[in-house]
Amino acid sequence: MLEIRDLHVKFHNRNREAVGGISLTIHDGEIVGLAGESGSGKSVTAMSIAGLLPRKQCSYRGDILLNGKDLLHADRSQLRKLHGKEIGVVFQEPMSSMDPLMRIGEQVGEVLRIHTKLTASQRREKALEAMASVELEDPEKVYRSYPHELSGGMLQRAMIAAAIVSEPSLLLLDEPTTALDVTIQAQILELLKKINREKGTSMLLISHNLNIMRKLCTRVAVMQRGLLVETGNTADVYEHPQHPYTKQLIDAIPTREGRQKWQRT
Amino acid sequence: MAENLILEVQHVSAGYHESGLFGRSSYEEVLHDVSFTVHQGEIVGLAGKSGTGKSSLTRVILRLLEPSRGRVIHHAGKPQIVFQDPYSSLNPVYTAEWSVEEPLKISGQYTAAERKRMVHEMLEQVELPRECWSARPDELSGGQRQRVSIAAALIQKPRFLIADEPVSALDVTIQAQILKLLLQLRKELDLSYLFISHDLNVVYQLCDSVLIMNDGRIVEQGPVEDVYNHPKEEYTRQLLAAAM
Ligand SMILES: Nc1ncnc2c1ncn2[C@@H]1O[C@H](COP(=O)(O)OP(=O)(O)OP(=O)(O)O)[C@@H](O)[C@H]1O
Ligand SMILES: Nc1ncnc2c1ncn2[C@@H]1O[C@H](COP(=O)(O)OP(=O)(O)OP(=O)(O)O)[C@@H](O)[C@H]1O
Ligand SMILES: [Mg+2]
Ligand SMILES: [Mg+2]
Repeated sequence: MLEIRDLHVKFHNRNREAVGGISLTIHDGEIVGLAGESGSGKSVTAMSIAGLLPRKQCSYRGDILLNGKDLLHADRSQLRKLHGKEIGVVFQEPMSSMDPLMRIGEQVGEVLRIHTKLTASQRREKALEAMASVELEDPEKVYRSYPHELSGGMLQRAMIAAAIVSEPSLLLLDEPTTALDVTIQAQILELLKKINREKGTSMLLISHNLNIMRKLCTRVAVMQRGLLVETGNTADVYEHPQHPYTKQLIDAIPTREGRQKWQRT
Repeated sequence: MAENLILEVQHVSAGYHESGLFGRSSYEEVLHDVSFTVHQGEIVGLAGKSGTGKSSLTRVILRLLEPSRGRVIHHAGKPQIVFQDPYSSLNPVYTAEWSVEEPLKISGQYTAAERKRMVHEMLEQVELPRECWSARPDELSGGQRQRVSIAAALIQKPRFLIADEPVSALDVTIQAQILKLLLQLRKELDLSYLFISHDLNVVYQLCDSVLIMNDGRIVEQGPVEDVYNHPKEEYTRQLLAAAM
């Protein structure tokens, strides 16, 4: 359903390409993980798919096809039509992608206003439902709140609610659970699994947390310096990592045993 | 550990005023009777589920939020903070280098050449690639932004640093590097930290003692080994079980 072919992105003010020629396919109903170093090009890849690259600041080439439609070179008005309807995006830093002056509930229901003929009260109903599904306590209250009145983790969940409310066929999730404690994280992962199972939604999950990937993804891809250094079935990559960086990532997962080692250094 | 107190938080309650319908305003308390201390050279972890009041507590300590009861006593001057959302602490028009140098300029203690050297050393310590030094916040990746805000806080060699989820956006290798840097600075300068993280494994690796928060109350506190090996509260047990 999504096919990335030899994607290159280079920012004018940098010497090295942020994305240096990657190819990746996501099949219908598949959840693919994208892991890798900070600064390796994960978010830039996601932004390319979502059509949100700052086009004036960079040059780009390659193809990104969603069900045969070109996303990389499409113009903004075409992309806007896809947004929310076919692609839902959860950004890495929720605060920066929310409108500080708009109530949370209205932002969650916004895509429905643009893409459906639902009435205001039907939209409200759907938004509240989505907010409850991401484990936000007291959705009515959160609905009326402004972004600055929510904690980091509540905001992150509101963002997920906004991405899933319109039931898009592809979800791009950029570090969707970094601000969440393990219990809520586990519930969100269950929710994503359920959406995937029941609606057949395909997902690209970006995370530096390999434990999360293991729970959710059928395949993982590992990026380093703009390149894919390893792809494979999740279990294979975990059990037999090929690339030194992948090994490093797996070894560096923090454990309680790690404490001794550290405090001595 | 030195007995010198850095911070005392005594019976603090605090909350937010919300303007409701028809001009009525309501008050909702989110912190209830919170007490703890931080000693010199101590790393105190603060953990607990999302929305439980951790960031609100840092606001009270920084005097950005007025407590309705209780008080906060700083024995070592104003603490430095790394905010949960790096966007809110970085000036959008400053380059990384500039953001980190700015606090040194304000202090007026160093020559331009000394400042340059210190800034570069710090940016290297947080492993910000050289090509990013002249980038503005919106030209950085999430983890790079987070490292710039850590560098800007640490360059001031504060005696007390509050760090709100400082490593949550970092991949494990760079996360390990930052945690080592924090430990190294503690050793060299006897710094104290209040370290907020929802990652109990990270808290275990770094901290001497831990505060477990639930619904605006500290439900359990003590040395990390004690709390992790013999949790008293059901809530702590749940958190620990989920983390393993
Ligand atoms: N607007 C921009 N201008 C110039 N360089 C940019 C811009 N946006 C991103 N970059 C650079 O592109 C590279 C890839 O960034 P990207 O945000 O994709 O990293 P990432 O893999 O998502 O990292 P993280 O895990 O830290 O979020 C980084 O070196 C970053 O500094
Ligand atoms: N400016 C504000 N106005 C009103 N309520 C607020 C404000 N800031 C926070 N709150 C509320 O206070 C409670 C505690 O929020 P806080 O940000 O302290 O949580 P937290 O423990 O830091 O959570 P997280 O781990 O998700 O960051 C939440 O219910 C939140 O909605
Ligand atoms: Mg990113
Ligand atoms: Mg917080």
